[in-house]
Amino acid sequence: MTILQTRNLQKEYGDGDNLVKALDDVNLSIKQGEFVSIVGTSGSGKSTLLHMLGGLDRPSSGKVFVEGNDIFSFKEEPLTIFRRRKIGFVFQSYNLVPVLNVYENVVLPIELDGNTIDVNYINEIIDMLGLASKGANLPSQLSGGQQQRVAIARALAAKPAIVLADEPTGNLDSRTSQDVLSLLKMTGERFKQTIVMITHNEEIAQMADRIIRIEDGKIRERGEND
Amino acid sequence: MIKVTNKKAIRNLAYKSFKNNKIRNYIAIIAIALTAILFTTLFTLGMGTVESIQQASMRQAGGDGHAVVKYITDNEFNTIKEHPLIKEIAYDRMLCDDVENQEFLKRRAEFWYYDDIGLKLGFIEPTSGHKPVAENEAIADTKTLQLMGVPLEVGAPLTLTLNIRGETVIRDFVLAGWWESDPVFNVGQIFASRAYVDAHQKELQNTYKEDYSMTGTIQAYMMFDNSLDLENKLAKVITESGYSFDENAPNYLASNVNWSYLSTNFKMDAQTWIALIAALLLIILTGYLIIYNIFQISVIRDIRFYGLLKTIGTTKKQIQVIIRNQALLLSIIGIPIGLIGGFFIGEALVPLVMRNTTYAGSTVSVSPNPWIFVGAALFALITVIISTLKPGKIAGSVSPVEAVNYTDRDKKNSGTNKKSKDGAKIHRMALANLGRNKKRTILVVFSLSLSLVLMNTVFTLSTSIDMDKFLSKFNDADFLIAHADYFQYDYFGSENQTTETFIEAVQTQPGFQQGGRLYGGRDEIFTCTDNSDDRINTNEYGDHYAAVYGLEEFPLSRLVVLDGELDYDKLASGNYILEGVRLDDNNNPETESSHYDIGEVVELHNYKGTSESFADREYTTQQFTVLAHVAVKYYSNSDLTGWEYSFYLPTDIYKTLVTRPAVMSYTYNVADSDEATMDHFLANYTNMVEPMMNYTSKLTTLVSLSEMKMTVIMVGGALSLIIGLIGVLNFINAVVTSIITRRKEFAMLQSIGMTQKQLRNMLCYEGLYLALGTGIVALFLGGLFSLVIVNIFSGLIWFLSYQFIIWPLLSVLPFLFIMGVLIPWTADVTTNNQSIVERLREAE
Repeated sequence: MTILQTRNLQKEYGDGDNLVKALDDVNLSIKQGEFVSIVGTSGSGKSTLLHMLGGLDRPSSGKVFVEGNDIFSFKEEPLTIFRRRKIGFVFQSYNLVPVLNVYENVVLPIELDGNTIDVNYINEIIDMLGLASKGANLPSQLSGGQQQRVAIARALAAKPAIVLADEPTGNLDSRTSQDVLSLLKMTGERFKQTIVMITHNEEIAQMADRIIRIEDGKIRERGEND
Repeated sequence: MIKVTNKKAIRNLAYKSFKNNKIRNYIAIIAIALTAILFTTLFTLGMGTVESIQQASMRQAGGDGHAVVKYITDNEFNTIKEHPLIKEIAYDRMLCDDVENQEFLKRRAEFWYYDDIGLKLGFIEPTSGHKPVAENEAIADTKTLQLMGVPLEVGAPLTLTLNIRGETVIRDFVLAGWWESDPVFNVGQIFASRAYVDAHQKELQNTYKEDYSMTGTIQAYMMFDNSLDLENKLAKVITESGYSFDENAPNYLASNVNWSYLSTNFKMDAQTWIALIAALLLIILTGYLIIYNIFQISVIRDIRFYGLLKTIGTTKKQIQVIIRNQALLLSIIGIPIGLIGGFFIGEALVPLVMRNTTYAGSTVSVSPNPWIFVGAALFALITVIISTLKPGKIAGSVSPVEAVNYTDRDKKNSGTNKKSKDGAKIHRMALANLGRNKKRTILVVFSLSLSLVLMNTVFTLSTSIDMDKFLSKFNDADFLIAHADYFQYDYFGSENQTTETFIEAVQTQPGFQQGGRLYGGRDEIFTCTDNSDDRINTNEYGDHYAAVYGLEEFPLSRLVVLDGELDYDKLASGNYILEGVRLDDNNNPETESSHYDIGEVVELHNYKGTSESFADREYTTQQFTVLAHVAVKYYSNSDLTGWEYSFYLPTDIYKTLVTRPAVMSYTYNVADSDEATMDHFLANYTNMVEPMMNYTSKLTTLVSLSEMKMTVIMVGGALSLIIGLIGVLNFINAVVTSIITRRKEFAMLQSIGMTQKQLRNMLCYEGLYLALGTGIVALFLGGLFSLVIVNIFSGLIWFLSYQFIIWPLLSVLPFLFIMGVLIPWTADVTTNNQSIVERLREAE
């Protein structure tokens, strides 16, 4: 079942001689439960693609469907709400709220949605990510790997359909990167989530089910990776 | 040390980063301007009040010459005027000994010739017509002309009856010009032309040294370079011109310096100094609170920039110079704006302050004294420099590596855990956000509270002005009427007594209930024998001068008995007397002003008779027994002179002691419903029918009281308003910068699903909590300040009865809350114009 699909996705910046095509007619579809990595050099348009997939940025033309919904047909406010229910983000720079402790950071998306917290589920995630003893700590007291694990827990907290990870290991050493990635993959399998990850690191990319290469805004190559 | 020419590079960097900080710059300029406004207002207010008082006293003194040499001849004048110390010298010549027109019996007039410098120094400038030129031309003040019945038109004839060395000379003139009479100058002035002086040279021959005749004598008012050390300068002028200071020397010249000059006369008392210094410190603190905050925030925002500068080799000192240069650049724009604004505010407030001094009614003048601006600019600059010291230090000592990871929060509390399982409620996040930088939050709360506390204090003071204490001091009965001189502290006796026509007029007014005359006066002076060693104010017999008043039934019945008994029958027998005891500001008897015990016999003497010279009068002696001690109510039953000995008698007895009993004043009560009508009648009557009469009433006291309250509120209110504005500005700055610096964090929050609305709610909660904190702090500090400081202060001022009020503060709180919500909301709406992605990318 296709959970995420783009149709003729275009993103242009500037005009005239300065026209830059960040995304040029991108068509891709991702099935439920897939772990996909998008690789490309810097400036290839991979971050732009991820932002489009998550509804953070609007395309110049083309469409993005999440679970069959054309997300850019939503207005700003409903889009935000759709995003917090369906999509979890993990960023390179963790982006935790500095004034909230680990537990509060994790449950923030649920609270923003005004839902009751599924405590068992949250505890399970926290346990799996090895954060059980850190619940009361503030982000500034954690190491980089720990912070990224908190970010992953946060991305999973609202039980989203898709987790979008933008260079999740970009700030981590290779050992920690492996650990974090394994955890991401494991939780994805455990909770049957679709994961789309951007990276420029081939080694990391190899951990995904499928690798999509992007260059100059165009998808170049498709490869199954078993 | 190697000298490098890097000034240009540093200046360039300072300028570039200055241009990059537009919002900070606007807020900083406004803050600096407001601080400068506060200083300028304070200085203008101070200087303006001093200047107005000075000018008023100069006019009372007759001019603003630094010194005067008196009764000199033309030759003496010509010798003196060459002295190098003299910058300007006026030639003022008296043209007669006295102007004897009947109209001037009550208000004396003088007849002079003033040269142009004299007119300038005497503040005389015909507002209509021109200066006298022809021999028969004259100019005068409007009140003098009004008394003479001369219409205010050029060419109107006027006749003066002059006393020239004892001879009466009648001369006709035509009016050439006039000016509005100065209320503080109670002598009429008439000026003739130079042609008149030339035509009467013979008659104006100075004979002062032989017969003390004033006719033809010259008063030479002179100006020196400045008003410092006037006495020495005057002494130099006189001795170096070949004259003497010794009264007995043949070449003696009478002279004096102008007492209205501050440097020789006016001394600021300790209280004024303390108030001034306190106000200066308050303004410095207010300015510091905001300017420090602005620079601190901006430095932390740009900390990476400073870190970068350091990695490429900029020294700590150079970074401090960059920050200081920015501060100076902002001051160059902000301070002049503040100087101009402050001057106008101060100028507007001076008349209010003057109204409550004894100089009420005189012209207020505030000139743009350069010292006001120099002083205010200096203080503003000092405040700016002090405020930017610490931020400069922070920027200068940042480590290049740390700068990249510098987050805007207190370093200390990263060690504490946050034990909460409640999850992340938006309002709790808001509260936690405020705790990120506790110091700044406290600074903003404190800066806002300051104005609220000040405002509450202003209102507390104005409410504490006690109407009853005020009324009971200035008014005993509803109304008191007397000669205008009486209210000018210049009542003498039969010459300026209260007229019977005036008394009859008020007695026939509707609502008149009861009234009585008070007799007294210095022209038939009393003395009493006292065995004390004190020989001050005694006559040739060693008896003490004393005030004795004769009271009709009504004022007699209103006397306040301090001890003894007021037995009217005994008093009427003529054997008894009441001794007056002065009261202090709090209405407590000053016991040292009581000189006799009850039952003691007082020996009273009086120079009985009407002769000019006391020596020709009969020195009488009567004996009275002191029946009781009564209160001397300065404004109700005294001649407004501070007598050491005061006595009260029934009128009938008093009249037997003096030759010409004079009505000092007449007090009476009026039905409550007719008080306003009576007040109106008196205002009219004393203006139109008998202009030399005047009155006071409870109503006029109330008016002056409400004016005083108004002044406190206006002056204090203006100050708290400006300080409040600074507080609000501080608040805006803190909110705006916190939104800008957290842009990326907000983008992240939005990317994980916080809606715009939730984000704004959070910001509004932050504002609300700040407002709440401010409210609590202000209530606490305001209450404390009021209960402790204002309470003590009120105890020191007699007309204040401390009253605790907090409603002015409470009534401002709703606005504070509205502001607390509105400012973050608008700040977010106006600054949030970047997409989430743009903001997320910003730091990468």
